[in-house]
Amino acid sequence: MSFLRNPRDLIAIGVLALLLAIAAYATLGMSGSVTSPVPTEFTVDGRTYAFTYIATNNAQRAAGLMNRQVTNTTTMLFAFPAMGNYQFWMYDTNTSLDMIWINATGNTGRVVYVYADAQPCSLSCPNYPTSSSVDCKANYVIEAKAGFAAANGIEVGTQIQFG
Amino acid sequence: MFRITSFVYEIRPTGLLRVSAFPEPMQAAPKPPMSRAQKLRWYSGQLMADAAAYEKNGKTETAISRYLQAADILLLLAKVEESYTAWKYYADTAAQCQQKARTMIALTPRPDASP
Repeated sequence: MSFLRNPRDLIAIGVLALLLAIAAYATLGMSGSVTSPVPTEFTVDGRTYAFTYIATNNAQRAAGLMNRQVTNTTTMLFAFPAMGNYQFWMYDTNTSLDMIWINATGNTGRVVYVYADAQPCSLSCPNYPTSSSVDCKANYVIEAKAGFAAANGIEVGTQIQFG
Repeated sequence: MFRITSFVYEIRPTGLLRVSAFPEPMQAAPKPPMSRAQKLRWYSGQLMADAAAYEKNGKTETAISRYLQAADILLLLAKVEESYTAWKYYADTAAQCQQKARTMIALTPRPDASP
């Protein structure tokens, strides 16, 4: 370990470590990727639904259900790397949607906020929740066809099991 | 030959002879005009009612057939339904019909089964 006594070597190692940290942040942090395993299905009210689409990074979350054919069986999971108050919009979606914010730990989650029947838009698009003062700290958000939440008895406090 | 109420009569020298009967339908047929979806809804309801009646009378095979037909019709309705609430009703009812048929099949003794 004699090379470590040389200050120039120490500086070189330090710079290398810094570069590695920047590269890791660029690939993981900037893209907002979820590194932990992401659920592929969820159970609510005794019924299990498989996710049709799963968004785990910024690009996928930004695209969402935009320009996709949403049917009665379509469900999309937005997974986030950390808890936060995340807002959504309905730009260029083909139908109205229900949005369900879930605060999950492990395989169990609790619904913290529901926005039902959000309408599609193309010019003036509001963000949901419409008020930034709404506390909807969540790490998962589910989007499904409008009517999904009511038909499955989903409201604030409902337990959701992920699988 | 002429028809009085729900029976067909034939005039004979010895008098009137009743030759056939037209049983009254269980439920009145839908009045036109009805949309295709309305007709299918009515038909699936009839099939389920028939199935329940056959099941009650011990005619398991016919009841199973009717339940499966009803499930097929309901799935057809679900396929073209836009509203999530109506779609869920069709899908859930079809699943119930299929489950009912499955249970009845499981309970029906097979002819080749050993006692």
